[in-house]
Parts: sequence; structure tokens; C-alpha cells
Amino acid sequence: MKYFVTLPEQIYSFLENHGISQQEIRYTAKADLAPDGGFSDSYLALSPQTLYLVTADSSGSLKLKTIPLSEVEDIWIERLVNTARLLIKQNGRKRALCRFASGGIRIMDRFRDRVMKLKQQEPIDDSRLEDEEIRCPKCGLPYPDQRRKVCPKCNGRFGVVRRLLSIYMEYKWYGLAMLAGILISTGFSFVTPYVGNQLLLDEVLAAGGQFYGQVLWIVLLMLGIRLFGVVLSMAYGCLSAHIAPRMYRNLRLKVFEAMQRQSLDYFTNRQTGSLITRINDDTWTIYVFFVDMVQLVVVNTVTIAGLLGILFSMQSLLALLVTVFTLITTMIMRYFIGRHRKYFKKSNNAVRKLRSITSDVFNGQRVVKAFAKENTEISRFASANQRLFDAEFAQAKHSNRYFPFVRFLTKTGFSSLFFIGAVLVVSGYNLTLGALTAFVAYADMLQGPVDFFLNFSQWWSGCVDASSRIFEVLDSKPKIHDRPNAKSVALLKGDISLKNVSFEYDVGRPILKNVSFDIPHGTMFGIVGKTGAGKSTIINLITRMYDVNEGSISIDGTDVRELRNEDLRRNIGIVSQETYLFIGTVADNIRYGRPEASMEDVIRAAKAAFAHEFIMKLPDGYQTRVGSGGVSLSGGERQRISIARAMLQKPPILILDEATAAMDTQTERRIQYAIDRLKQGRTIIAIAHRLSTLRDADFIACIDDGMLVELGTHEELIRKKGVYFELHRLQTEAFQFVEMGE
Amino acid sequence: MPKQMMTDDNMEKLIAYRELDSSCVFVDDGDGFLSLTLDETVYRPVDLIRLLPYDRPDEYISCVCKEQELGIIRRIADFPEEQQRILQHQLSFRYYTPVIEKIISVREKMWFVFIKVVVDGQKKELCTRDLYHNIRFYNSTDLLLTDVDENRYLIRNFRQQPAKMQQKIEIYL
Repeated sequence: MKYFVTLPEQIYSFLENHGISQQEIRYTAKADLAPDGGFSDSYLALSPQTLYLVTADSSGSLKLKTIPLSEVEDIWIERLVNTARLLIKQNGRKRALCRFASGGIRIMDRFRDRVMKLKQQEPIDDSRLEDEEIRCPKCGLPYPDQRRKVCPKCNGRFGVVRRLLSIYMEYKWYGLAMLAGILISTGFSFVTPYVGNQLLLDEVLAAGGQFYGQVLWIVLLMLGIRLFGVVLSMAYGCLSAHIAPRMYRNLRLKVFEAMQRQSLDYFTNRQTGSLITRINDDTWTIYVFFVDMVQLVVVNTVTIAGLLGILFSMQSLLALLVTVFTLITTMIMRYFIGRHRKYFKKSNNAVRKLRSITSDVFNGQRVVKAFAKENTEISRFASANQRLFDAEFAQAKHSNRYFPFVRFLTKTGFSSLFFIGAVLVVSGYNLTLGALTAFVAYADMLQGPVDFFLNFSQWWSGCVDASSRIFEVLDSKPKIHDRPNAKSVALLKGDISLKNVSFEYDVGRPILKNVSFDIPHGTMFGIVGKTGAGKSTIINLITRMYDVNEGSISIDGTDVRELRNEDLRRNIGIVSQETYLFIGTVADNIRYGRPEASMEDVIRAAKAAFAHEFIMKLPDGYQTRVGSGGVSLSGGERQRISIARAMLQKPPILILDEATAAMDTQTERRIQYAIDRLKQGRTIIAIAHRLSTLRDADFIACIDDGMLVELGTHEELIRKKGVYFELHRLQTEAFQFVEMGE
Repeated sequence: MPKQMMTDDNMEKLIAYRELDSSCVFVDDGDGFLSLTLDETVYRPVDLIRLLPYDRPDEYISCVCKEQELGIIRRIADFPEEQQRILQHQLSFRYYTPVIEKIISVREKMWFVFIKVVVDGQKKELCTRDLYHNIRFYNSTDLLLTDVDENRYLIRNFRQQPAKMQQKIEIYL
């Protein structure tokens, strides 16, 4: 027994004491809530003939309820607001079996399904469960979010660092060259305080010095060092300019490609803004990591080590003082930065909120103006703006309270260092004035790398967070993907068959229930039903935007899951109710499915879709720019372009999902005429609320509450006087009303 | 016959706003189902749905039987005590939300936030993503937190919780 939960030993023993062996248990499930609330585990076990429920009473004693499957008439899940319960109909009576948190719905639904299948002695296919990983294969921890198989432990910080470095290694030679450049530059920076202070003061300007009076020489030397530094910077800059944008470009492309491979539900479950952020902002953060952070970590580590080495070699007592003082100020700074982070996060949150309101209001400007709510929206914005101000003010106040204090501390430290050093010089402690000024200059150089490491954890956190979001995209496996031996088909004929299809977007909320029908090739098949009946879902399943939960859909005798997705979708043209035009010209949009089509073909398709007339009236004809930021078209005009797009594609299967919803009746009739011409040798599936659109359909299916309730021709369904008749009657009455009104 | 003939009567019923008063009788049948006797007809099972769950949990409650609304309870307090008890019991059953008694730790790992809590006397670790969108004030005093499995938890009287606990969560509010 493998599915779905491992029962505790205590439960197994309890069952065995009641004569139920482990071997006879086929499936198990667990409910974690007591009937009246509160956490209390109860267990379900399913054998081929019996369902067992083990619960604990208030004293902790286990109780067993036995339900023969022969008495189970129905079993289903009722979703409540935050919980769910498993209900059963036994001997004509409905009752609740157990209660559980929403997180258990998925497993309980599978258990429920197997109860019914065992009762009805239907075959059970557990093979798909084998492929499903509930736990991370590496560490065994369950995935926190079962919809996304990403393990935060294995993809933890070290894992992210490893992956980042592996990407970095693709550019290792450039990276090494940049690193070499910076290290040489750093090495030269160590020379500058020595030359400009100790050498100048003790050997050139002091009487008796080794190079006394040779001022020109020392100045030229200093200039030379600076010039070399500048040349090195330029070389480093050129190298960085060569490699850094490449890295950024390649990373953006990788992320976008990974997103494009995802299934439709990946996009419907996420905000577009957050996806765009990953491509732009998160990749930028990683780019900064590559270009700056890796080098700076190495360089600053070397700098600190080098400087400490120099300081200790110059004057160990002073160097010790510097080290201790630096450690103290670092700890104080860390404490303040830690507290400051809280203000920073709040401020960030307020910015997000403000952006969200701004975006919301701008997108809904039509509604704002229609209801004259400009002032209300201004108040809403002002309120969020005030909260942002409060957060930023608190952040600034905190900064200004603590950081000047820390700066004062640092300055005091340096003054003390100079004072102690001066005492040592005056006392003749083997420390010259030049050496002291050089020492102070070196100590001052320590500040930069220390500040870097103080802020490093914050940059590092940001980088790791951005990387993990990127890797989550790169690692996400699309739900809908080609099977290993997927069939490649250039051209489909268009015989479509749905057999016992059931589907739900969310567990416990079925959309389609056991739907079966055939659509012969070369026919026009209409689907009608009220809003939310499941019509568009049928289309989503035929086109394999989602996979069925039960049953199968086949085209030309092959299950759509066995076909290559690209081939399947290339053979299907869709005109949906929500028409989207990409940024581009009208011609580009019509050509989207067949970029190689000639202009003649584009115009023919536009004429067939009755779009040519209005396109001609656009400012630049077929080259008018449409889509976001382009010319604004009416809903009907956009739909006609969408129809032209589908017509140009000339697919063997054409799906029209409320394709003429936004059109007037006259235009709709014309489109109908064009579609009729297309029917020859083509399968057309049309979803419509307006039944007049389907008057020429060869078959019409009525979907109600996810079930196929009627199937037949228009005349047959009218004679039946069922759902279709009722819909038809209502629409006919409505039209009569309109005519009377006119 | 079609499930629901769209006659004028039915249309009227669908759009009508009917307030239920104390003349209707709710009965808890003990099996976890509620029945309602209304206009001498017994409806079962009846679901109670709060229309304003955050601001007015005991007002504007829709009574639905088999996806058809029977009426709206304007205020539970307008009903007799026994009826109030039955209604509150059903609502607390339907809207049961575990209460977080104590937050032990809040830890961000990758894009998930792991929160160790004490719920109903037991220690649990909750996991949520994007806590900014999954925590909100349920009313003026309580917070509602949603985890990755869409389980919800309540933190009662948030502002009276220990300061340390507040600090851990406040960043996300």
C-alpha cells in the first residue's frame, strides 16, 4: 500500500486488532480536524470491499467505523471557507465522515475517487501517481507548495551560490581578466600612501633623507602611479563593457525562454507585473552580482588582509588599536543596520502599495471618469502616499539618529589614532612623521572594504532572493509538455472525440463532469450553455492548454496527450472572446500564425473576415500600429482581425469562442457567410450565446452545469423542448421585443 | 424538462431581495446539516454564507439551498436565542479558522516565509509565499494569514500580542 499517507503504527495495530490486516488496505487518507473544530487526526483506510474510519474520542481512545462499499451510494467533498469535509450517502442518508483543512483536499479527492472506483469495480490507474513527486527527491522534505515542485532547502542559499557561480564560470576568462585588473589596481593603491606620505615626508623633504630635495622625481613618480591607475581603470572598463551586457542579455533571454515554455496556468496564476520584474529587475540584480560583487568580495578581502599586513609591519601597537576599534565600530554598525532593515522593508512595502494603486487607477480610468470618482482616487492615492512618507520619514529619522553617531565614533577613532601616533613619534618610539601619516592613510583605506562587508549581507540577500526567483522560473517544469514518444503530425484531419471527460481547475470544484461527444471531420459543431457551464473549458482541453483529469480527448484517433503540442496547436486556429492584439501593425497581427503569408493572402483573409473595410480607413492601412500604445480599435474590429488571423492560418480545426460577440447582427451574418465557405473539409467548433450564430451548425451540444444535457441538430433540439428550446425561446422573445420597440 | 424554466416568476425570484425573519425556523439535524422551514416548505441542506465576513460577520448572511438563495438574514440578533445559537454554530463550523496563540519564529527562505506557531496548543510550522499578499487585517484587531495550501489562520488581538511577535510580522503589513 503506497498511497496516500503512512498510517502511524498505533493505527495499524488498532486495525489489526480488529481483524484488518495491512495487506488488505489499498489506500489511506488523513483528516486533521475534529467535527467541531480544533486539530484532531482521524484516518481513513480503504480495502476492496470496505471503508474504515479511525477516530479518537476526547479521552484519546480509538474508535472504528466500518462502512461496506456496497452501502456507499455517493461520496463527495464539500468545500467550506477554510476547511472541507468528506460527505457520504449511505442507505439513503447523507452524513459527514470527516473534516480537514483545505490543504488536504487534493489527497482526499483522490481517495474519494478510488472509493467509488473500487465500489464500482472499475480499473484504477495509479501509474500517474508514480511520476508525481510530493517530496523533494534529494532531501525528502515535502514541497511547501505542491503546485510548484521547488525545494527551498535544497535550493537554499548554498545551492543558489553554487548555481550562480556555475553561470559565472561560463564567463570565467573574462572574469579572471577583470579580477586581475582590479587586483593590480589595488596593489598600486597600496603604494600611493607610502610614496605620497612616508617617502615624501621622511626621504624627500626631511634633511638627511635618502632622496632629499628630489621633489620633481617624487611628483613624477606619483603622477606615474596615478596615470597607470587610470589606464588600468580604462582597460578594466573596456573589458567590463564587453562582457557585462552580454551576461545580462543572455540571462534575460534564458529566463524569457523558460517562461515561454510554461503552461497556461503558470501565467493565469501570476501577476504579469511580477513576471516582468523577474525578467528585468531580478536579472539586473544578478548582473550586478557578476560584474561587481564577485570581484569586490575578492578585492576587498585581499585589501583588508593586505592593509592589516602593512599596518602590523609598520607599527604593531597602533595596528592592534586600529583592529580592535574597527571591530567595535563594525559590531555597532551591524546592530544599527539590522534595525534599519526593518524600516527599509516597510518603506519598500509602502512603495509597492503605491505603485499598485497607481496602476489600478490608470488601468481603470474609464470607470473612474464614468463615475466621476477622480477626487476619491486622489484621496486614495494621497492616503497611500502619506503612508509612504511616514515610512520614509521613519527610515530617515532612524538613519539620522544613529549614523552620524557612528561617523562621529569613527572620526574620534582616527583622531585618537593620530594622537597616540604623535605621542609615539615625539617619544622617539621608532615611528617617523611620514610613517605616521602613511599609517593613518592606510588605516583610512580600511574603511571602504569594511563598509562593503557591512552592507554585503543586504546586497547578498537581495541577490540570493532575485536568483532564487530566477532559478524557480528556470527549474519550473511545465505541466503540459510533450511526452517522450509524442507523435509528430504535419496535418490533422479533424475527427475529434471526447470520452468521459471530467475536469476541474481547483480540486473539489468540477467544471466538466463525464462529458462525451464526437465531432466528425468537416462538420460545424456548436456548443451552447449559460455562462460558467464549461464551454470554454472544452476548448482549453481540446487545445491542450490543460490536461483532462479523467477521460480522454482524441483527434484522428490519437489522444491529444500523445501528440506534439506544437503540431497540435498549429493545426488548430482559435478565435476567442478576449481578443489580444500584439504590438505591431495590423498586417503583423493577421500574419501571426503564418508569418510567411503574402500580402495578397493577408488582404484576402481580411476581406473574408470583413475587416478590410475598416482597415482601409485606418491612418496607415495595414501598417497601422495596433496593440498597447497603438491605435485603439473597437471590440468588433479587434475580433475581425482575430478572425482574419485564424482564416489566414487555414487550420483543419477552427474554434470560434464567442467570436462574433462584439459584432452587430449584420456583420455577424457576413462573418457567418465567410465561415460557411471555410467549412469545406474543415472542422469548426463554435461557442455562442447568440443561437442565431449556430443556425447552420451540423450538431449542437448543450452544456449545463458541466454536463452534456442535449445533443442534436437545431431542429431535433427544438422538437425536444428541453434546455436548447428554452434558450431559443428566450432569445426569440427578446428579439421580438426589440422589433416592437423599434 | 430543463432544470429551471426561465419564466417571469423565476426571474423575479432570482433578483428579489428577501430578508428572512424570525418566522422561519432553522434546525440543526445533528448530522452537520442545517434545514430551514420557510413558507411551510422544508429546505435541506442549507448553507449560510457571510456576505460581509470581515466587517459584519453577524449581519447579511445569505441562506442557500442547492445553489438557490432562499433569503438573507439581516441580523442574527433579530432571531430568538435558540435560533441564534444554531446559526452561530453553523457559521463557526463553516468559517472555522484556527487561532494562532503564539508566534515562535519567522524565517524567510528563498521566496517562502516559514512561521513556527502554536495553534490549538500544538506547534506547527506554516509556510506561505509572498507574505505581503497573504496577511491582512481581518477586522480592526485580528490578522488573517493564508498559507501555501490556502489554509487560513487567525492572530487575535494582534496589537496586544507581545512586542517581539508584533515586530516579526509588522514588516509585512
